[in-house]
Order: sequence, then C-alpha cells, then structure tokens
Amino acid sequence: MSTTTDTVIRKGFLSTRVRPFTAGLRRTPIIPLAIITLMVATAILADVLTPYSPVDISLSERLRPPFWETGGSLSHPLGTDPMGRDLLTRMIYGTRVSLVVAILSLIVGGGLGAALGLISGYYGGRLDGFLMRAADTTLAFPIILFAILLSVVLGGSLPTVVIAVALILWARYARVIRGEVLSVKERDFIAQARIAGSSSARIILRHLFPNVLNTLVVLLSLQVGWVIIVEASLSFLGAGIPPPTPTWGSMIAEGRDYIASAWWVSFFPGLAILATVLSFNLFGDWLRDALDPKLRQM
Amino acid sequence: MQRYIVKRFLQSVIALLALSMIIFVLSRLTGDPTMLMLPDDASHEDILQLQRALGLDQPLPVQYWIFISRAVQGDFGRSIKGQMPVIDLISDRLPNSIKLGGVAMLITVVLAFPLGVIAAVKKGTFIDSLANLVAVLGQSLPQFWVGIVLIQVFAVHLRLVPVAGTGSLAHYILPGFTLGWFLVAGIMRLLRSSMLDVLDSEFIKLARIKGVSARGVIWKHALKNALIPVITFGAIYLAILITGAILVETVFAWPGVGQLIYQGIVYRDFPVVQAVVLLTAVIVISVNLLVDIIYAYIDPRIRFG
Repeated sequence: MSTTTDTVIRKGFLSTRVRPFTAGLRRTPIIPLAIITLMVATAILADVLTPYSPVDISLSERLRPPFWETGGSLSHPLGTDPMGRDLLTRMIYGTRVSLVVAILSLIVGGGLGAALGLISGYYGGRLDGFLMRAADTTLAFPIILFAILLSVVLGGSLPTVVIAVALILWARYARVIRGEVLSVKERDFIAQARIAGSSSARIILRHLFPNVLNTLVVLLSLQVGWVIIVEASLSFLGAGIPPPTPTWGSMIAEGRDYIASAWWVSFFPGLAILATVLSFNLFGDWLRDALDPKLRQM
Repeated sequence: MQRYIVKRFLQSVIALLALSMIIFVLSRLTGDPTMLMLPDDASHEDILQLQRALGLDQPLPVQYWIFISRAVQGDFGRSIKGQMPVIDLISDRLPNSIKLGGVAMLITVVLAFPLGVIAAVKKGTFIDSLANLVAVLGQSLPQFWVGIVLIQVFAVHLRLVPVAGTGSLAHYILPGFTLGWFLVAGIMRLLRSSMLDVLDSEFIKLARIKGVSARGVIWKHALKNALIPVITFGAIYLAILITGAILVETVFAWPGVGQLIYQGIVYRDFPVVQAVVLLTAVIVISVNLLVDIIYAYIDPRIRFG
C-alpha cells in the first residue's frame, strides 16, 4: 500500500495529499503494539504482579533508590516513594487508573460526540448551527479549567474525572462525524432508504452510523494517548482521582519536592506515561493510515 | 462586513452568558455555596451573614443577576485562603503570566516557523525527521514531567539555571522553553503540511516560472499563504498555551495566574477558581472574535459565505 500511495504522490496526482508525516512507521507497529499489550496485561493482572500493597505506608523504607544505585536493592527495583511505598507497585496500579479513565471517558465523550455529530449532520438547520458553535467554543476553550472547576466543586473522583474529560472530548467527535455525515447523506442509498420508508432513526443508526464507524474508531485510537495525558495532568494538579489511589500524575507530583534528593520518584512514572502515550499515538497513526487516511489533516 | 461582525459579537456574548450560567449552576450544585466559601469551622452566624451578603435568600434568577452584575464590575468575592479580594489576586499575577506567555510565544515563533518551512521544503531529509521527532514527542510527553526533568538536569545537576521562581532573565529559560515547545510541536506540524499544499499550487509554479528566487518563493509567496490555516487554529493554540501555563507555572513555582489556580485546587478555593475560569473565558472568546474578524477581513469568502 505504501508504494502505491508514494507513486501516486510522485505523479502529482491528488496534489493535496502530502506524504504521511510518519512514513516510516506505516508497517505494522510491532513495538507499540507490544507495549500496549503489556500495559493492558499489567492493568488487569496488577494484583498478581506485585507482592506489595500500593497504598500501605512504611516509613522505615522511605526514599530507597533504584537497585543499581548505592543503597538500593532488588526488593524495590525502582526504589520507594516518600511514604516508603514500592514505586514499581504504584506504577503498576497506576496503569489501571490511566487505562480505565481513558476507556471510560472515550466511551462517554466519543459516544456523546458521535451521537451529536450524527444528529447535527443529518438534521442540519438551526440545531446544526447551534451544536457546531457549541463544539467550536468547546474546542477553543482551555477546558482543563472546567475540569478543575468540577473537581473543586464536586471533589476529585473517578466519575468527576471521566465526566470532565468527556466534556473536553465530545466536540472533536461531533465536528468530524458531522462532516462525514454531510457527505454520506448525499449518497443514493440514503435517498433509497428514505423512499423505502425508513424512519430517520433507522437511517441514522442502520445507514449513516456504519459508514462513519471507521472514522470513529480511528479518532478514538488517536485520542487514547491524549486522554492519558489529560488525566495525568489533572492528577498532577490534585484535581484528579485523590490519594492514596496511585495515578501516574499524582506520583509525579509527590516526587516534585524531592527533585534534588530522590529523582526516581517523579522520573519513572513519567517514563510510563511517555511509553504508553507514544505507543498509542504511533498505533493510532498507523490505524488512521490503514483505515481512514483523509483524517491525516486532523 | 458590519453584519458579520455584529452577528459574531452577539454569538460571543451568548457563549459567555451560557458559560457564566454553567458556572453559576455548578456553584449551586453542591447546595449551599457558603459551605465552599467559608472555612469548615465557621459559626452559624457567619453562614447566615454570608448568605444574606450573597443574596442567597433571593430566588435563583435574582441570584444569577447579582452574580453576573458583580462579576461585570470585577467583584468576584474574596478568596477562602487569605480573604483577599479575588480580583486583586488575579491582577497581581496576570503580568507574570503574560510575560511568561510572551517568552513562550517568542520561542515558538523563532523555532516553529523556520522548522516547519524547512521540513516542508526539505521533505524526507534529516531536518524533516528531526521536525517529526519534535512533533511526535510534543504529543506524547506530559508537559509537567518535562519541566521536572529539565529542572533535574539543568538546574540541579548542571547548575546552569535557577530551579524555580522569578527574578532574573535566566528564570525565564526553562519555563519558557517547556511552555513554548508544545506550541512549537503543534504549529510546526500544521505549517509543514500546509506549506506542502501551497508549494504544490499553481501560483507558486507561476512565481517560479516568472523567475522569482527560490528563497523569495518559499519565504514570501508560499509562507504567507501557508500561514492562513495556522491563524485559523490560533484560538486552539491559545487554549493549549493557557492549559500549559497552569502546569508549567505550578512546576516552576511561577507566581502567575496558573499557579493561582493550582493553589485554588489545593485549598478548594472556589471563588478563585471560578473567577479565573470566567476571566479566561472572556479573554478566549474575545480573542476568538478578533481572529474571526481579522480572518473575514483578509478572506472575503468568509463574510459572504
């Protein structure tokens, strides 16, 4: 597939189609997929993977360095945090929080956005105008502020974080899906379905939705990484899921006061975020190129 | 043109009103906002007094009217911690945020524009790959973590720059770079792809045929047109900048509005957070309006479309 596309570009056909940014990565992204599998397995098997509790404090063990530094030992391979908890254990449980928040908020936000996009594109008119204005305003607003406001009013918790992230997410889905619907709905089979007496609800669900599904899947996969970063940012600011639940963002925040003496406390959770997010982004890029290349401009 | 501006202005006002209503409803959502505004050990008299002062004995629409008319006058109440008028807290800190944001934007302009243009012109070369790496990492790295790692390396170990805070020019280097880099990543990527589109278009070929120098074609004819999509996304970049500022100011203990909102979270200081959100909304929506008007001025298709 990659050679055909490249030839097409060289011939100057489809002049707006630029060579993909990540041309070298279009083969199946094996390493990213392996990391994603590892992260999912870690999240599911967290209880089996580590002998330690992620929350029990043991001050006699506090701030042990990783095993390769003097004073470190293999019993705490990545060292311990200021409360004496095993860092690796907390990172393992943190994987669970990150993935659960990402999946739930993508389902809620993506679902809401897709539904509004379908309705907006199908019905058009004033409703469409209103919804798209709302989507544009949401996209242009630093919505993390809104998430912070929610958390200050309601207190940080899993549902608050999911709702906040979903409120950030819906707009992009609504915009992109609506655009898709506008082009699909002009096609003959939609007119035929209408002539055959299909109700609007049936046309939306049975005819339009399957046709925008590819786009939806690509968009979802492209945003997993981004959602993980938003959750981590909220946790870092103390507006996410409250302690003692281990999250990567709050672990980084806990290490902030020990930058000079215990670098590992905030370093390793950040590395976990980087590996996970990078993997999801590369995987998403690949999936987009495979399923829906026109989303590349996004 | 006038009709378009009036229409967009009204839309902006509606957006702001909608947002203020959401914030107002949120503030009443938990029941009594006095619980949020007073310390836990407040006496019964204190609560009653604050309720009267806030007009909480009035019906909801009246309460909203009181809320909004005070906000317009810059009265956002007092912070829970320190009991300072919120507006004073914000106006003390806003200049610091603007200075840091300015430095970040300067870094963005200096880095993103040349990188984006060169990456497009020298497609597939080392420079292009480098630009790609900057963009991919910019999307995958948590900004606050980058800040902390930079402090560890450049301030703690190499002692080249101060760890945090303000004072000298050196204080701007790390936070400015951390804040700017994420904008660089986004703008560069967009500029690269829009440059590639423009370089492929007929009028560029014409300019080349007419004998305009390669440099002139790229930096004058092409860049000018490639910038249009970047301007369209201007509002989104502003949102990224503000989000980034909250994180970066927190990491670097930068005494700006971003750090203020972090303290607002820590102390659950609802009046502070509410005021920052409302003021940000005013700024963001005004900038959006301005961008749209400029855009309509440059491109007649918009105002007649």
